[in-house]
Amino acid sequence: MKSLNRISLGQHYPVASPVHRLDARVKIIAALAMIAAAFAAGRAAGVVILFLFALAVIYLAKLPPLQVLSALRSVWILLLITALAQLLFSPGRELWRWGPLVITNTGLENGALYTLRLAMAVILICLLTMTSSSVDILNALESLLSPLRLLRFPIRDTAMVLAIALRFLPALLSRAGEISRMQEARGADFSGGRLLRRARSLLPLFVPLFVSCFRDADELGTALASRGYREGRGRTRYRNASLGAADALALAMVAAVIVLSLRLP
Amino acid sequence: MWFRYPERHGFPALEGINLRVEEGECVALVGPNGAGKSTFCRLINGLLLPNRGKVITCGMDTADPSSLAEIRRCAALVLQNPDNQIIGATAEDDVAFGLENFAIPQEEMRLRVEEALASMHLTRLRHREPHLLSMGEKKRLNLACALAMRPRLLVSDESTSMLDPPTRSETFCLISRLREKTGMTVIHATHQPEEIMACDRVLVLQEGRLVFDGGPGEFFEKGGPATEIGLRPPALFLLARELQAKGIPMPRRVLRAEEVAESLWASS
Amino acid sequence: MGLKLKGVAFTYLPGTPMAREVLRGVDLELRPGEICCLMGRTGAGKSTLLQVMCGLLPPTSGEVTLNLHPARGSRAASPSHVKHVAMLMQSPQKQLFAETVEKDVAFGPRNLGLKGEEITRRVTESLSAVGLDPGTYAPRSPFSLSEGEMRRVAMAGVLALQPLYLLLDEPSSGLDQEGRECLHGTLESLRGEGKGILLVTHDWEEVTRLADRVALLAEGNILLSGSKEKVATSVEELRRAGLQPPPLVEVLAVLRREGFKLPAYASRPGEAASLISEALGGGKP
Repeated sequence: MKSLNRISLGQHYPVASPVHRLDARVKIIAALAMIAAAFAAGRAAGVVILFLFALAVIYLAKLPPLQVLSALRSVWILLLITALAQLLFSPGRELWRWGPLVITNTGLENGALYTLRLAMAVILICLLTMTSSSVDILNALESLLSPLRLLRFPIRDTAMVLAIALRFLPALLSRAGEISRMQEARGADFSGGRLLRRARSLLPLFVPLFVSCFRDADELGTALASRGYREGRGRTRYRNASLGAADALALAMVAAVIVLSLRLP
Repeated sequence: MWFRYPERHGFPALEGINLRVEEGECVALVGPNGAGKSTFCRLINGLLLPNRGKVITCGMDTADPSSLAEIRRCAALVLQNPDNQIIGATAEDDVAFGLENFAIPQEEMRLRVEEALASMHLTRLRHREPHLLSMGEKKRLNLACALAMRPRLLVSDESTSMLDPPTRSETFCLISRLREKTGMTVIHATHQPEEIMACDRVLVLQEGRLVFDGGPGEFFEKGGPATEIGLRPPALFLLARELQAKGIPMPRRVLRAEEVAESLWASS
Repeated sequence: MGLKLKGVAFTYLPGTPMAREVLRGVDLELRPGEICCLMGRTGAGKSTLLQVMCGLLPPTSGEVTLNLHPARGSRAASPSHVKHVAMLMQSPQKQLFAETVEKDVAFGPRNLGLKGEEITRRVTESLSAVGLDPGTYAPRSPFSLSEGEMRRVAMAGVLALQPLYLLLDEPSSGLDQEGRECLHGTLESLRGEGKGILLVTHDWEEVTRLADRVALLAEGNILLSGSKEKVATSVEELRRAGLQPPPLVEVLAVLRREGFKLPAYASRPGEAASLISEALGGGKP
């Protein structure tokens, strides 16, 4: 299917780079810390520093920069609204007026600040997903959230459910394609039409898809049980998730940049 | 190796099954769709429990919850649809999945994963995602996952049925060779005449009852159980039978064209 | 006259790193009143070929013509194609979705724009054609049926379109002997009605029983096409296609290599046995 082939927003971009090799846990912590710092920084300058650091990481990760920045395209409306809201409605020394619209100095600064923050958040998340496989991210989340087990939250099983869902996504998409072609062969037309009619015309697609999903889920349950999966029981892990020097260095650099950005006057 | 006593499961999926399979046997499980083959397979590893009687697999009773884990390690179940048995995000991860479940230590895991991948010729595909594998490769992956657990019994619920003939015979060949090498017991549910022919023993289920238990030659006899359930004998078997009728001695069991030719050569 | 493919090529996802050339230049013709069996390994492109023939996929190059009218890409754009060429993919029972068998079988005719009485008539006829009694089966839910019955309903759904050409992708895989017999009977009577049928199969027995012609797909091309005797005995082409000849042909081939005077082809074990025992000089009394 075509949609599986286009490099979509945030999809894993497998390339050998020092950033890709970092432990996913480090990347998650770093991304979240930087986003938090971006929102905590009082001045635009601080956020700019973080932004430049993010660009440096993009370069280090050998990711096509245009591709990453294009991620911003999907939120451009939000960025625009934020920018305009800050620009036009912040109190402060007046710089420019046109009829009822006023732009103040704080307006300019806040406009830049808020827009940059939002952009940063999007880019950092993108960086995370492009440099780590979804399996790695899930394992990392499972590991980071494992203290929640003390609160009897089924972390391991939730992670397993998510991992399986991820693994079956391509299969599900191709099954949907298969069924839609089967129905097209009987004269169904899934393109165009008014909204209500279109929704109804999708029934021949959704019903078989759901039915086959349920059947498969049943077999999958059998397979899981046969292969010894027991809910909540201890499992060893095949993939090594040990932290190395590079991870420590990365964390140190991120910490330094954050401190710098927050301490800027 | 594992026994059965009179038992009945569900309404009336299986009834009065009383049999015993010895270690190292290769048993074909035959019957029309809905006759209870799948139920039979799932009773062996304790996924289903009998309403009456007992199922003892690898010396352990499936009704005993504390033995279930070991039973599932010892008796590996391979299903028909390869996609619904692949859990891991890559081939390698999938083989490791079962080992992880049994808390096998990491060193041992690496060893077994290598071994299993190599025996199924999947080593160069280890990082491949499942949806990018061909059907035959997926089947081999299913088998690799089963093998990594070092089972003593392999239960296959029509695991060769979604393959084209060349892939099917390759897969079945792999299973046979494994059996020879490790002495593993195999219970193989199938519709394929050639595979039934290659087994030592044939069990026929019809409407939940065991109606035949004997050798493949007997099974395919004219007017025998095969005819009753509407299964055509393999072409070579029929040929051998016809030649025998014309006075040319033929072995009881012929699996390949060369065997027929050899017997003819010998008798000419 | 006929459903013709000329120089048809098809590449998946052209122009991307995932591009894959599946069909390279296929020439094939399906005529009314004949059953043509298409053989080839899984992955050789048989399903793709069927979809192109049916008008579901536009060929990257070459053309598909139906009675001299070129097909135009999507089925929606070629009304004559929809009316005359129908297809059943693998595991067709997966496409059932309606509340009753009747509604599901009526789906196709409804899409053709037919109304009321005509639809009911077609539903009844199609169900009977596949061996399902309309009275019993029409009001039932498709999901309450057995696998075999579901497949027949799917077939009925396609027959209700009353196509001139029928393209079937491994319709008998997974069926038990009884289901297979029923299917073969249906196909023979459809051929008798003058329909052209393309049947994708791996089963030499099925080929022996049904095929008027056989075509071998491999390496993106039709390697060979002709009578079943011709294809079954073309060892070299079969090898290139990754297929095995029928067991009887193999035995005859081995014996011929040893010097026995035997024909290359026998369709039945009895026939082969007679030929062999004659060649051996009558055997022992």
